[in-house]
Amino acid sequence: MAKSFTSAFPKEWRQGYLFIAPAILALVALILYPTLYVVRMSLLDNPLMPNAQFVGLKHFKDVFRDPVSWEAFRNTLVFTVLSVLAHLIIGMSVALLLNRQIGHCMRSLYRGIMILPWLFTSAVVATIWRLIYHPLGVLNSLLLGTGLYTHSDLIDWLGSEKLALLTIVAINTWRGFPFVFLMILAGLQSLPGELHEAAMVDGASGGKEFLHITLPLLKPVLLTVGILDTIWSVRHFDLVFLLTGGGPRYATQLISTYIYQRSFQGTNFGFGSAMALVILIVSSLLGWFYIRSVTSAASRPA
Amino acid sequence: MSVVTGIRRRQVILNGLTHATMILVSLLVIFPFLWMVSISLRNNLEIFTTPIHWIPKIFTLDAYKEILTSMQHRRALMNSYFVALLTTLASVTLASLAGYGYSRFNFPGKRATLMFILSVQIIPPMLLAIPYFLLSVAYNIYDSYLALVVTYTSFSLPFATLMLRSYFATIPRELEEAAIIDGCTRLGALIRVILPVSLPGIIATAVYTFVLAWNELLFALTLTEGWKRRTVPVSIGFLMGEFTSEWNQIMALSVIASVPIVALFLFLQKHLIQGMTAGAMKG
Repeated sequence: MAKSFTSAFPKEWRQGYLFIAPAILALVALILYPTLYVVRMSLLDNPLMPNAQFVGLKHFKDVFRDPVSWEAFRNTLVFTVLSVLAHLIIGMSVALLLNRQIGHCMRSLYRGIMILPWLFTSAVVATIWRLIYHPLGVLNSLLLGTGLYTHSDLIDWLGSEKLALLTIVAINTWRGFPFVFLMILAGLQSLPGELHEAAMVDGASGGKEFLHITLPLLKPVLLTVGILDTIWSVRHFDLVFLLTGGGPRYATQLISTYIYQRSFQGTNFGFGSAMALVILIVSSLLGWFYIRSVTSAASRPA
Repeated sequence: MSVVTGIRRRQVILNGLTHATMILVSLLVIFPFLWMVSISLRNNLEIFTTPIHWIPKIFTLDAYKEILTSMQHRRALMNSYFVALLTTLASVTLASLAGYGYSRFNFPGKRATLMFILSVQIIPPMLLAIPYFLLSVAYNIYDSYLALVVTYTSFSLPFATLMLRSYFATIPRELEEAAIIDGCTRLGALIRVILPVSLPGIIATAVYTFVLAWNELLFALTLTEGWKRRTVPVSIGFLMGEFTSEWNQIMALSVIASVPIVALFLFLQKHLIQGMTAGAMKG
């Protein structure tokens, strides 16, 4: 890099800075500053008041002493683990099916259909599934038809304390598997074709080939997409907010919806800020794992 | 010979099974959308019937009429289009500039700022919703298009920048060197040489940004009040909350809300997928 004698900054540096400046400044103003603002708010007792006092970790203590918070943590854990597992299993199954020799056109068609649930706004997803899971809706009508239960057993899927969270997990499974499926399919298609032939020559059947060859090779992709999906699931808000609002009686309250409830419906922004920082810390840990998994995958020889 | 035909036959059967399974899975995946359309075309008496009417006995466009003649819903559609388009424009512009800078120049702080852009994506939207709300009230831009466009741009910028950066990196430098020798400025070279060549990457970024902005709910919910700046997802949410008896209207609005998404999907599917898969790549 040639050093200019006439200015402290070489031309290359100046140009580089100029090009990246608008985006970087935007991010500093719109993400970094608001985040620091939240940190500050979590440490003040009444952040909305001009003469707010510094109260240290009081809000954090409130968060961890509140039984509803722990409900939210527990529900978020259940939601995340089940959703991610379901996404991986279904995504993997469909990707394996589509990876077979079925012709490029058909594969594109099926692939296109598979990504549809992910494309629609959560509001639309919520309305459709709320109607399907309605006590008088399609699902119950079908179940009635099979004779498995009678009118008196009609389940209000989204209104039942026991079943609401699982119902939402099911909906989120349908909604979220396309992304995982797409990534796994891309991973499968990047595997060399000779492996399959070699396996067939060696007499390895489909099941053995999958377990001993395909799966180990897919581990980096699975890890990456699994961590990403986990990060996204932990912060989930939309479907729960629209379908149950966190109820009935906190059965579906997630971390994000509880923050919304306490901050926007309850005006306790200090509490909300503290809890939001808790998610940030958890997400950061997950993000650290993600970066490690991506970089270790990249450094592995092909 | 018979061994080979045996293997061939097995392949054909397996392929047939694969297709059969995929058709079944596709139906399961698509069914909710078909049901949505079906409900939108009926009157309210036919929503909950026993036995189920898969196709309405009486077809009617009344629900669509109700929605499309409502000033508030039309306004919501306009708002969504406006905000999504502006966001896409702003994001692609800023991301192109930054992506170009990162792909062509070396300077102190390059790695640090890249890490910054990467790390910023870890911050949960709910965390940002709080200061966005409070700051927009404080600066008097609460319930404004500016607030929405600015916040939407902020969360699509990191991804867009990283994606365009890796895209520009695949374009050989000789292309713009030629233009620069002819007297072009760097910016001119970017606009006249690099952008046209990178059109697929730009479109992928733009489409993905548009879809994200169109679908967004949380910020639209917390930063707007009343129907003047409300976007379509919030509109649908309110409709579902207030009138859980007008399901045909709710579905009609949902169908209308999905039109641009489906259009982008049909015509630009490859670009959409490109955007989706790039969303998981490290910079």
